[in-house]
Parts: sequence; structure tokens; C-alpha cells
Amino acid sequence: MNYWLIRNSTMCLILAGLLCARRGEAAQPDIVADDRDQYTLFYRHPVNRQLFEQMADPSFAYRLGPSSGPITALSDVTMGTQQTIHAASQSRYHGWFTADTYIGVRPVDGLDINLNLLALNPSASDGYRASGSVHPGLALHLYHDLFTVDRSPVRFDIMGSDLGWVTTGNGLLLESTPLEGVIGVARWKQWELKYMFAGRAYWYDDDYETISLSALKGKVLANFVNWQKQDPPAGATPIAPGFEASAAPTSYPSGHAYYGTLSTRFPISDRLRLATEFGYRVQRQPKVGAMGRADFIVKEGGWYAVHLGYQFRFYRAGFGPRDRLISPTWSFNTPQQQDSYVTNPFEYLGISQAYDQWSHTVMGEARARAPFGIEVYADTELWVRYARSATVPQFASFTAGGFRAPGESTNFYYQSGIRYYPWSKLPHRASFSVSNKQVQAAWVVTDAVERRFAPGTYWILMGEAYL
Amino acid sequence: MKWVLTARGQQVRRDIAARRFGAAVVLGLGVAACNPGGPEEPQAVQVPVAITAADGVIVPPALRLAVVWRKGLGVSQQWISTFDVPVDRVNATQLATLDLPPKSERTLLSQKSNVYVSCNDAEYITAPVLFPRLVVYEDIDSSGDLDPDLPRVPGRDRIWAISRMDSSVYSIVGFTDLDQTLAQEPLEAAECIRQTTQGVYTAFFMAQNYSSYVLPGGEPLQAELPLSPTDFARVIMGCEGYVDSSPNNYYSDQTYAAQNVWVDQQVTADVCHDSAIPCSRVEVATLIPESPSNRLYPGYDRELQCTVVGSLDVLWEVESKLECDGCLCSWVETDTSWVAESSQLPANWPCAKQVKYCSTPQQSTAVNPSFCVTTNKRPL
Repeated sequence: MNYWLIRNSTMCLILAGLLCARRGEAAQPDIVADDRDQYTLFYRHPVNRQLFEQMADPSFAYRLGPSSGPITALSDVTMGTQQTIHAASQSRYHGWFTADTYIGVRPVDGLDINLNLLALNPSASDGYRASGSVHPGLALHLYHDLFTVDRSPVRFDIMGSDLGWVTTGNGLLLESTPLEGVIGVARWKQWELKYMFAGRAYWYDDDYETISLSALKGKVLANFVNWQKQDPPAGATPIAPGFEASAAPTSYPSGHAYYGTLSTRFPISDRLRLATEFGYRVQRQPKVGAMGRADFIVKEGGWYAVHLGYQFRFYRAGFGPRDRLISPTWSFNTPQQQDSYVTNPFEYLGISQAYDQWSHTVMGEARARAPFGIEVYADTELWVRYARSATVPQFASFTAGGFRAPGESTNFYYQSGIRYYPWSKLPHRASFSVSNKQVQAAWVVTDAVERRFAPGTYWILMGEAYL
Repeated sequence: MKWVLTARGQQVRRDIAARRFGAAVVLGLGVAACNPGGPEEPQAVQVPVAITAADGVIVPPALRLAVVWRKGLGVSQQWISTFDVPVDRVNATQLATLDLPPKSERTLLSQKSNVYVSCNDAEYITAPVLFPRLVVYEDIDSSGDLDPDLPRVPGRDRIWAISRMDSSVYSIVGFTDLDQTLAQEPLEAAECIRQTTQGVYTAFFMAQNYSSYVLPGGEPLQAELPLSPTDFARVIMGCEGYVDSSPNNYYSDQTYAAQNVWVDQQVTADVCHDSAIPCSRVEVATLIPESPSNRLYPGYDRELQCTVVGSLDVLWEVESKLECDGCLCSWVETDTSWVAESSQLPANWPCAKQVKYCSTPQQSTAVNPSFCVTTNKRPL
């Protein structure tokens, strides 16, 4: 395989995305800076802003809170157990509850105060309320029409510090990552200019700063990124996660990785979408990364829903922001993360300094309703990844997930089972499923971990209520 | 001007788009799904081996250089080779290939330890390591394979040299399973281990062996194999646990094998009359040179001391060397004194010449070399 072929296949994907543009559109999010994946059957958790707008959505009609007035609230409550099959040790969430509560206060038009309280207890085995915790996220949201251009207002939003699950571009650099920071957005017609500063992305010592300009309601997006980090100088060995505090010196000089990316998102039909992203890391020897994603989705099919997706990723060695082999870590490990794909830039960027990487992922989710309130469902992901050593001499490394580079691996993730809906018009449900993908968490769920999902086979019994 | 597509036109456009999309996906799948290559196992490396022979060593013709690993202990020990070639030339450097035995064999190897690799102020890596031994042997049976003749394990091939494995030098060690070590440690450890192995994806590096653990030294891979006709190399190879591979680290009760006073025939004084040790009159000039064969023994050391007592010159020599009988080794120390008239010193009398060591003359007042010898048993 050579770079020429990779580059050309990538370019072909991008060109195909541009050429395939047509007038049909998927529903555009009404929520500002809404990075939730629209092309998946995973549950799209509420976001911690514009709660009134979310409550006004017809799909939220069952929620108890009002969609207007000075205050509203909603809550997603889950309780369940996950038990390992053929494993000696339990998973962290082997007897959990979560209450993911969102409170929105709108004292005046133009100001929202949003408070998300995630109360959870990962394990009933830890002792009575021993590991229960509440994790607040506050988003102060100011929005205002600044002025009018061509008879259309320029709307300005600024919000922080809870940014929720953030994806930039189509996910080449950052995808479904919980972040805190600030976002400023100026919108005019189908244009959007967005600035974001996030205090921590994939490493304890990084900051993610981006400014993006999108047109055609997000169909084309140019993104400029300043990924700040503190790489150890030559001769110093990178410090492994967990040892940062005890190592000296505790910090290294600040460095920057600058990127320019170009993303396209074009719906080919109401159910078929093609998305691409091409990234370019600006440095002495520029490095490229690219991804293409195609999705077919039927959500409102009546008794069934199905999503089939495919994504290809390519990261040239040195494309990642770190110039050393440094483990990324995930610092918020809750059951919500179950509703995201394993394929994520997080999995690639730790070893990016030394390895060319590319992968193919096939995503498939399906739900089918049966009589008596029964639903059969399956979430699957087939991830085939490759890494080629780019250093001389070549050397081997292992990611925290056990992937050996150079090398290749094929992983199949699934969660499949049945759900029971006691009330036909309401989403409250109980479910039983079997899975080999469960969220990895330390004793404290905000302790950073090096792998997002724990290996093993599990059965999961779960109850969910949506208030 | 606004373009309006008919339904038919839209369908055509959709078909074209679908075809382009499909082609792109197929192209992407086709070119991107292939083996990325790269090493699947830690790589074998070549190490320069200096094979030396001191003056006086008669080098046999059928010497071979081998990298060997020991399985088992004591009389049940076996040696497996991963490299075995004829020695090209003595007193030259020859490359040997270091490669680990197959994984199934590694668990059975008996020369192993753990390495502590310090990565930074906060972290260190500990991992199991194995010791290869580089040996030069005389292929007496001309088989091309090593069949070592060891003290408790008789064989056919004679061991002439073996690499050291002690704390006073850097020895070659290898990670038992480098990939497993890398997989168990954080990603950051890869850089740390890479430094340990000099940037090469190999299991081998140089380390100091402190019996229960080893510490890497960052030295380039190398080995020195001095040929010795003595038994010491075969004893080290076959008697580990009883004999250290370094003479300097070998602790044993010293044995004074011989004490002699040689009085030159020209000396008129009766210096032997009260000597407690053998004292003979000889032609000193014929005895002074050191024995070349002694120099071939491990740990050989020779010290000289010159004393002038009245009209006599006394030369005191202490030689020490390690000699083994089976797996039992002892330091053998030979004390010898030569006495000659100061006015009639033989031509090879070393005093006042450059010698290896000549301490400050003893302040002896009596012409009594035996006294001088008995009060200076240990090298000064």
C-alpha cells in the first residue's frame, strides 16, 4: 500500500461528497453547537443548553417539564447491573444508578442558566452510598441578535463552561468528547462562525482551541485548531498517566499543534449522507489526516429503525498533536458513553507520532418492535485498524486498549438484547442485553482512564425512565 | 438565473452520485485494507565480540563462537544455541547474532532475572530478562554444535571463553518477552524501553547484574571473550551458583600454595639458617621471570617489592590466581623471595626498573628475608 493510493482514495471520498450534493437535507439541529451524532440509533442524550427548545420538540412531549416559562427541567434516570461472563472481576458499573437531570432557567430572553446534575452510584457493592457522587455542569448561555445584514439577524451566542459532548468537524480530531470551556458562535443565515476553547481534551496537559467557519448550514466547514500541549523535551521520557503529580518537573514548555481541516456533510437523500474531513497539520513537515463517513438511516420507519454506516480514517504519522508517544486519557466515564462508537480519534492519537494509521469501521444498529411492548435491538461496530511504523529503526508500541503497532486488528463490538416498554406511548423501559463493550471507569468516575471501554463479555439488566 | 431540475434529472443526478459514492467506497476499501508490515517480533541484533588471546596462549584451530542459553540446573543442565559459527580470527572483533530462543523454550531457561528500568523521577519498569552466554569453544568432536565439557556435565567440546555476567561489568541481557512488557506497561514506557535498547526494536541491552535484579547501563551491545586454557571458563559455565563469573567477585579462603626463598649462589651470608619456609641456594637469574602460563589464569595478579638490606637486595614477589578443581575454586597465592648481592645483581633483576608494582621498601634492620616474607603475606 502506498501513500499515493491512500491520498487519492481520500481525495476521492471528499470529491464524492462535494459532487453528491443535492437539495435534500437531514434535519438540522436547532440547538446551537449541537455536536450530537444525528446518524446513529444510539440514544442522543439531552444537551445542557437551550432546554426550553429541547422540551418543545415533539419527541419530548412525554417529558414532565414545561417548554415555556422561566424554568424547566428533565431527567433521565437509569438503574441496572452489568455482570461479567467468563471473567473473574466485576466491571465498575456492576450495580449502578444514574439520574441525569437538566434544569434550565430563563429569567429573561437572551439569558439561560443551565445546570446539569449527574447523580450516580457505580456500584452497590461499595457500601451504602459509599461511591455515590454528583457531577454538576453549569452552562451560562447568553444570546442576542447583534445586528441585521441583508434583512437577516446576526445571532451571537456565548456559553460555558459545560460544553457537553463535543465533536469538531466530522470527528477527525475530536469526537463525542466531554469538554468544559467556552464557545462563542455568530450565526447569520446559513453561515456560522464558531470559536471554542476547551480546557482539556485528550491529555491532562492539553487545551483545544478552535475557530471554525461553516456555510450551507454546516455542509461545508473550515476549521482551524490550536491544540496546546506540553511535550517533554528531547531526552526526557514522557510521564505515564497517573504519575504526573509525582514526576519532576511537573510541566514542560508549552507547545502547539496547528491544524486546518475542511469538512463536508452532504445528504444524498433523506436517509443517506456522506461526510468527509481532510486535515492538515501545519509544521515543518506537514502531515495529513482524512476521514470519510457514509450513513444510511431509517429512524421513523414505524415498527423498525435501522442505521448502517461506514467510516474510513487515515492518520499520517505525526498528524496527532503529540510529538511523543503519550497516552490520551478519558476523564469522564459514565454509562452515557455507552452511546458512542469505539472508533474515535482518541484511539489513534496516542501513537500517532510514530505510526501511519488507517481503519475501516462498519456501524450497524437496528431496532424492531414486536407485540406486547417488546423491542429487539442490536448495536454493532466492526472496527478494522492498521498501523505502520514510520520510524527508523522501527519499534513496537501498544495502546492501552492492547492494539499493537505496527500491526492490524479486527474488533467487533456489540450490544444486543430485548427491551420492554410497559407503556406504548412512553419511552420508559426495561431491557436485558448482552454486550462486549462497557464503559471503563476507575473508582471515581472522573479519574482519567487510558481506555474508554472495558474488555469482556457482559449481560446487562437495566431500567430507564425519562422524566 | 435559477436552474430547476426535473424529476428525471434529479433521478439521473442521484444515480450518478450513488455510483460515484460507491466507487469511492470500493476504492477506499480496496487500497486501504492491506497488511501494514513491520516487525512482528523483536529483531535479532548483531553484537561485536572481541575474541582475544594473551601472549603464550596456544590457540587451537577449531574454535567456534556461540550464543547459548541454559536450561535446567546442576547435573541436569542443558545448553541450547541460537548462534554458532567458526571463529574467524583471534585478537579481532567478530559479529555474533543475538536472538531469543523460541517462546516455548524461554520459560524453561534458568539464567534469568528482572530488570529495573528507570524512566523518570516517578516511574520505573520491571520486567523479566534472560541471560545469553557468549562462549568460544573448541569443537573437539567437529560436530559444529556445542557439547560443552563441564565440571559436572561431561561433554566433548572444551570451553575457552565465556561472557561475564556479574555486577562489575555490563553484561548482555534480553527481555524475556519484549512485546508482553510493552503491552503491560503504559504507552509512555515504549520510549523508555526504546532508550534502553539503544533505539532498536530488540530484546537485548547491556546491564549490570546484581544477582536478583539487573540495571541497564545504556552501553552499546558488545562482549569481550579472552581465551584461556585454564578451567575457569568451563567452571563458570557449568557451576553457576557456586562460582561467580568475575574473579574480582569471587570470595574464597585464600590458599598459600607455595612460599619459597631463593638465595643467589653469590650471596655469602647465611640467610637461610632460621627460615621457617623453604630456602634454597640457586642461580637467581634463571628464576626471576614470571611464568607465562600463570598469566592465563583468571584474576592473575603479580606484585613485586624491592628491599635493600645491608649489602643484599631482596626481591619479593606475590602471585595470585584462581584455580578450580571441579566446581571448587580457590585463590592460590605464591610468595617468592629472591636474595642477591647488591653488587652482583643479575641482569634481569627488576628493581629500579619499571615493574608492575613496587612498594616502599620495608624498614627492615636485619638480614632476614624470611621475616620480610612472613610479614607480608598479602599483596601491598
